[in-house]
Amino acid sequence: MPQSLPLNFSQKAKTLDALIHMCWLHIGDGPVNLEKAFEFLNIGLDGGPQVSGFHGAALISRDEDISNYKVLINKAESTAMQRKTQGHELAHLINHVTTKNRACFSYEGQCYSSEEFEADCISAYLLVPIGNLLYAARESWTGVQLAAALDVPLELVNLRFRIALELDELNSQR
Amino acid sequence: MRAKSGDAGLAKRVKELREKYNITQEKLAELADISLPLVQKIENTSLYGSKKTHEKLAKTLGVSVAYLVYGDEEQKEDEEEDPLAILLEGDPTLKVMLSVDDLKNMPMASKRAIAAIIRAELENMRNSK
Repeated sequence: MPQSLPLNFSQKAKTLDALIHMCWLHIGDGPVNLEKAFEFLNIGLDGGPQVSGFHGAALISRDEDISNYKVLINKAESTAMQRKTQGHELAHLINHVTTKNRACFSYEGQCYSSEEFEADCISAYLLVPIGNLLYAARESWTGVQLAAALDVPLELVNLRFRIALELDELNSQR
Repeated sequence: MRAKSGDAGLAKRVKELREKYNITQEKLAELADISLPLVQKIENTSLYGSKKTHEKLAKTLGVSVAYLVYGDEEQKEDEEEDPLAILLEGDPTLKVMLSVDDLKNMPMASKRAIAAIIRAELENMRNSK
C-alpha cells in the first residue's frame, strides 16, 4: 500500500469533515468503515506492540515535502478497543499533524490533553453515528447493548451520547 | 466516564514549593500561565494535570519536572533514561503520537519493547520511500 498521503492539509480537514458528516447525514447508515478510510487516505495500518497498556500509535516520517503515515494498533486488545483506537489515531493524523513530537495518554491514564479528548470525540463520531444513537434511544437500548451492536467500548458510546446531549442543549439555547 | 484523579505527592510538592516562595495560588497560576482552578485542583489532588502543565509549574517553581512529578532523584534518573522519551525527543523529521495507559507507571521493559518496535517501524517507513 502506498504510504504517502496524497492530500494537502486543507483537503485532509475536508476529508475528516466528510467522514463525520457521513455519520450525521446518513441517518440509519452504519459507522464509518475505518479500514476503508485508512485505505482511501493511503495510511498504513498494522499491528503494533502487544504490550499491556499500549493501545496504539500514529507515526509520521517526514522527508522534504513527503510525509509517510502509519498507525499501529495493539491487536491483543478487544476488537472494540482496536476500533476505537483506529478512530483515535486517524483523528490525530488528520487533525494534529502540525503539533510537536509528544506522547499521548488515553483517558485511563492520568494526563488527558484537549487533543486526546478531541481524538476520542472524533472516534466517537466515526464509530457511533447519530442514527444508531437515536435508534437505540427509541428502542430503549442500554449503552451496553449499543456498544455491543457497534462493537465499540462502552466509553465511546457514553462519550457520543454526551456530545449529542451537549449539542442538543446548545441548539435549544439558540 | 471515570473521574480524573490527582497525585498526593505532586500536590504536596507544588504546595510546599509555593509556600516556600510565599506566593498564593493565584500568583502561581499567573506566573506559570495556567488557570487558577488548575492549580487548585492539582493541590487538592483532584487533577493530575498534563505534561505541559507540569513543565510550566516546574519552570516557575525552579525545579525539574522529574522532581515535581516523582519527587526523588532515582525517579528522575529513570525518567531521563526513558526509552519512549528518547524516541519522542529524537529526530525532528519524525513524529510519534502514542496512546498508552498511565505511562508513568508502565514497566521499563514494556517501554523498551514499545520503543524498539516503533523505531523499527519508522525505519521501515523511511526505507520504503
